[in-house]
Amino acid sequence: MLCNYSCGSNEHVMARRQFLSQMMAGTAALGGLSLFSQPGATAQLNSDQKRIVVFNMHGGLSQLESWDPKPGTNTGGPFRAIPTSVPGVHICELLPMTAQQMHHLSIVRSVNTAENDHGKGAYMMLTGRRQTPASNFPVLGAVAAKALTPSDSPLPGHIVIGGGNGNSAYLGPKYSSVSLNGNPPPNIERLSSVELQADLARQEMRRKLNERFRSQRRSALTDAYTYSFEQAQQLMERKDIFDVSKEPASEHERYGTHDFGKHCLLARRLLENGISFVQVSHSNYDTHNENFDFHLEQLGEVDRSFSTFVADLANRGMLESTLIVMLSEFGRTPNINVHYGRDHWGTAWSVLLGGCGIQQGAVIGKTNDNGTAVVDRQVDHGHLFHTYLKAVGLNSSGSFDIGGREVPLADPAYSPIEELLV
Amino acid sequence: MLLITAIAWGMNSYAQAQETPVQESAAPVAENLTAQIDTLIQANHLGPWAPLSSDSEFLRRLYLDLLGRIPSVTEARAFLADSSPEKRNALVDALLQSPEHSRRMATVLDIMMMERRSDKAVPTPEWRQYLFTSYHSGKPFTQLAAEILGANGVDPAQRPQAKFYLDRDAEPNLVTRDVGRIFFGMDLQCAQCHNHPLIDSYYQSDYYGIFAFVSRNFEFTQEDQNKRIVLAEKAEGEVDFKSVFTGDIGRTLPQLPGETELTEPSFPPGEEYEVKPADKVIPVPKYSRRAKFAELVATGTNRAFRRNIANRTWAFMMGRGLVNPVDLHHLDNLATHPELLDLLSDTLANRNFDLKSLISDIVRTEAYQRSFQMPEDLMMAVDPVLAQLPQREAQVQELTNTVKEATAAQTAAQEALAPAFKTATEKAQEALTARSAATETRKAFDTAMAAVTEAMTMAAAKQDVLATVKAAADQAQAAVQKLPNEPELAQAAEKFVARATQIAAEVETLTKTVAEKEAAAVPVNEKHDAALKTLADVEAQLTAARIAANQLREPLLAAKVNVEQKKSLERRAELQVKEIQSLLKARELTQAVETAIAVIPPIEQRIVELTTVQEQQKTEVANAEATVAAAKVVMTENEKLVATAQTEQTSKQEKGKAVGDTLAAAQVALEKIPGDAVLTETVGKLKTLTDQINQEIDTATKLVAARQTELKTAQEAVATAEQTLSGIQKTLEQTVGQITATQLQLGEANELVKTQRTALADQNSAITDLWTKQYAVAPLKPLSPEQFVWSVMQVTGIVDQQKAAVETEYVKNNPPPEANSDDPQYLAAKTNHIEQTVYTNLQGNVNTFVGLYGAGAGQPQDDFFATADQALFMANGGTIDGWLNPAGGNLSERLVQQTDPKLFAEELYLAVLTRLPEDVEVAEVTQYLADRGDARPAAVKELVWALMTSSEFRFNH
Repeated sequence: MLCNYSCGSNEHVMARRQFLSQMMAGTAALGGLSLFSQPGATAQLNSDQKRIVVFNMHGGLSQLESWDPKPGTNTGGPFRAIPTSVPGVHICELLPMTAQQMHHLSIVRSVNTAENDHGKGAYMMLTGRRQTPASNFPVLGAVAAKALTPSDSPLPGHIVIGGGNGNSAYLGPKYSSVSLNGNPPPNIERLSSVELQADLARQEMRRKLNERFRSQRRSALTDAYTYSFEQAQQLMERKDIFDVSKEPASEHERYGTHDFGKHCLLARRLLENGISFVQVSHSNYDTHNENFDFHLEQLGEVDRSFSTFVADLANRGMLESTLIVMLSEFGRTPNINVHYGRDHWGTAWSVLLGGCGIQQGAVIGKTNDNGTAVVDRQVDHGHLFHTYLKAVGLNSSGSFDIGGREVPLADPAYSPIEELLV
Repeated sequence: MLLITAIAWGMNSYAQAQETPVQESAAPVAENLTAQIDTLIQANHLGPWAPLSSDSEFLRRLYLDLLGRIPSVTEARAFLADSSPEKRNALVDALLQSPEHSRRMATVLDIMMMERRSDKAVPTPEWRQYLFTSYHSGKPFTQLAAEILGANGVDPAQRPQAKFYLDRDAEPNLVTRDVGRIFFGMDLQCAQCHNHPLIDSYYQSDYYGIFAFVSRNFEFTQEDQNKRIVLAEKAEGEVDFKSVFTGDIGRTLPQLPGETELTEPSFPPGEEYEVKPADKVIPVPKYSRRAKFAELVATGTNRAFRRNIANRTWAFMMGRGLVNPVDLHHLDNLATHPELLDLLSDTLANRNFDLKSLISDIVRTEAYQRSFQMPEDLMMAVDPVLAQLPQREAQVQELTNTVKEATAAQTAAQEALAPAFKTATEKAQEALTARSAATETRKAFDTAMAAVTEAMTMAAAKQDVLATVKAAADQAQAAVQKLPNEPELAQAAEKFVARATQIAAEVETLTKTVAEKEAAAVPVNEKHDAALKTLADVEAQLTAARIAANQLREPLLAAKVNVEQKKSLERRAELQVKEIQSLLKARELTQAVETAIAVIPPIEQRIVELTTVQEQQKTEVANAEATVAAAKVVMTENEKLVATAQTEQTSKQEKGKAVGDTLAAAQVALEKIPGDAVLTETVGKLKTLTDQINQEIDTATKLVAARQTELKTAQEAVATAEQTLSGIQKTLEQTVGQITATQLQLGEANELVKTQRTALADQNSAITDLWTKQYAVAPLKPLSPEQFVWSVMQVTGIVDQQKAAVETEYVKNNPPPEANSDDPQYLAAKTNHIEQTVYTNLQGNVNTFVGLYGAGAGQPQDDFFATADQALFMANGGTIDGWLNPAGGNLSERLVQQTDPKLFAEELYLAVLTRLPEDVEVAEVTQYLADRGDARPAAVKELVWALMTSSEFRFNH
């Protein structure tokens, strides 16, 4: 069955800021293009660049049917818990392949965001702050794009796949998300009316003019402007990295041919090619009705694609430099309603992390026997956001300088979950 | 009824005289503002200046700033050809009067106030038209601000001005933040939850002072057919705040930044509204904080308000505020030119907040009209400036001391205020308690009075019945008297009388109830009266406490301004020191570059010398090698001769041995056969032969010895020659080594020059930045999305084509008056119509660019960013390519038809970059066309594209 958004949330039909919102740079060199283009060399070459991939389980993934099962209790539902590759850690039987990757991953089982509204919950989880009327904060992807992308990269730093978009707020439009939905980015192809030679000639003319102007007045702004045209040229040369159909059929087969499988494969392709932040959304977990059937169906897709993704990152040596997060706007109620559904629940739920900077096979925090309350190491969106940033080597209590204003990277009232970090 | 009168309040006891806000002494400012601005600018900057801009530089800058687009090629030609010395002023006058300028300012004001938020209650076109009309008609900015900040959106004619509140959903925190930033230049956001952690001079009370003005606003959906949302206001709602850091609780009344709290009229509970809140009714409070806010803003007396708009106006034209960022006026971000900011804000006040008049003077200054290019040889004229360093450093020290004094005075004033502030806070709490008590007693009283009224109504109703029944009884009795024999009638009359008596008794009871209720109301009223009296007393005390606090606050506010002024002066002096230090560093670097360069020629000379030596030595080596070779040839000859001699010798010796052997055998035979004649003869012959051969052997042996001697001589000659060669080769190797070392030295020296040059270039950039802040050189201002798209449309002919079409249509529908086709009124109307229609018709294109080049909604819009998707749009987008196609007399078409290379380049450069090309540029363009051969239309498009995507075009300079 497919579950409709019964809460009136229409985030799945968001306006998308399309290609490409990247990337101001100063006078940096234009080289380094070929660095990431060969998958075999990936691990070796870009281990310095940290990346983040977020799996956004849109609508509210049930922690009880995933990372914090409570079989045999009044809230547990029909599914069993199974052992994983980490001795003593059990997850729901709907995720058998993922269970074999748990030694790469860690679970935070004590999330209490005290928020049961889709929009507000998503805002908190993706920005690390509670929404306030007078201010607007950038999402994790925008922060990562600004902080992690090398300034000479022609590539966008913040990509969302499978719906949704990411607000960059005061970080500026160059860090807002680029949505990939199967279509090539706009204006990436040269117009048929402009021949290659003609394009090269006019670009050369433009460069000459810029050089002459630069000799009259040097400025970081003019350099950034002229560089944006070089970036555009480089992007045109590298447009294939956005095209998942260039992956061999065998890879498609391994990941699953459904949308989520394709999206995971595209995410791998993008990360391998030096993109700093990728978000993959999977809809829709808002299971007020038939929670169990629905999770059975959805997690079946997730299990194969996600476990393949994790294993691939580990095998390709990318896990040490890539932070993996699987989150939702909230979890689902322990209470099972009359429609065999579970409702919105921000009080005691789980977030999955792994990879760069994160302990392997750890379980942080605890809920009580039937999952109705956090009993140990309660954390929320603020702690998690700090943790993501610190995991990829950023000073989460540091600040951006935005046009002469100091703006903290994360909510200064919080700190990272240190015991989860390596 | 007495009671009702009794509560007719002594309004006077509550209505308190409004205190007038602190009046700034707006000293009359002498005119000739332009000269004064330049004097103050010149007082700040010590060093030499960038030259004044060329005509084309000025022309492009002025069009972009005043009209928001570059000039057309026709406009450019006209201005450049004009030889009048007053042509710049004339152009300023003409542009400022044009509707295009007002349109540009409407856009600027819109973006300043709405920051590209998406439309909610008021559509942008209506709002911009309101701003346009306001600016075009010369409405003072104070009035504009007051209209906007006092708006409720009810009257359709005045609806656009409610956009500021309504499109922010009247959310008080959002409104507070944006009012603070946009109208007072203070981003108080962080002061919402605590005193600002990073900015010492922002207090929570500043935030809540503004918050109190707007926190009673709320959105109200009208019951008309459009269900329009308007702004309504409550009469109650106090503002308490609590620091999340300290837990301190504060309460504030409305207060403009840098001023004292307002003293507000107070109304007894239940009497606060003209129109009370009720279902589907817009309430109207007797005292509106919003109206008060607008009223205060309209006076234009608030210092922060004046300075904000003066600073922002300056920033529109000069690319950067005197305080920058423009919404961060505070002690650690002071004006670079404090007196100038004072001058501008005072002048603006004296000129009744006429922004256009301020702009008019700014663009006439030398500061505005400087070139964007630094002086050619910066270091030539800086000596007198550099000499000032010690003096300026001493000045900083002095000023630092005055800042310390001023800060101490402020702390003292703060401490003096603290107890009074505490008392006022306590009194405010008491007043609140008293007010809620009075509200309670008022409720009780209203209930009691309602009971009285109800009893009276019942009594009155009964009285009415009684009167009717009595009248009926009287009439019945009269009838009985007239018809005494009608028993039924008598009976009826009796019934009427009986009923009347009964009702009279009921009336009596009810009247008694009235009296009882009235009696019951008396203590309630007394209690309420007492509560009111308490309230009045406490509020009087509160007022007194507040007045006392305000009196103490005034010196504090003055002390704060004093600190600010002293700090500004200190900062300026620091900047001057920094400037001198930068110049010194630049000079050091210049010298370092020269020194580094000076090292190079001797090294190069040495390399040349060594190379000569090396060549010589190479020749010597060659000669020695030849000698060796020749000696070797001789030696080889000699070796051959030795061999030949030896062969001869061996052959003779073999022969001698054979003869010797034969002789010996013959002699043996002769001994056995003695005397044999043959044998004897043979032996004799053999002996002769032997002697002969031995002689030959001897000769051969001698020859071998001689040859060997010769060979030895030859070998010695070779050895000598080889020794000589090896000596020369060693010398050559040494020379090569010296050359390599010297070349290395040269490489290092060159590297040093490069490093020093880069450092110098960086230093020059830093100086350029400093000078830009000092307005000693013109800034590079990125074009706003609107300036960019209108300029692109100007270049490509989109604007001109649209203008022509609109004009044709207009003239068709509104032919010029036959008597006078140049009727100024007609022409003005036509101009206005064309301007507005073209603006409206091309908005779609503008929106496309704004989507790509504009910052996010609700974010500051002045940060520059350049992205690959913008570049892709310019390079591969169909829009630009289409606009570049030669058609309808546009630039591309004119250029395709222009066959003279020089005229071609002139037209191209004037149209796109508003300047004539240099010779090298003419040559470049000509070469480009030649290279592209017969693909001329394409080549023309490419050239226009290249110029239009150059950084020279993207920036206003």
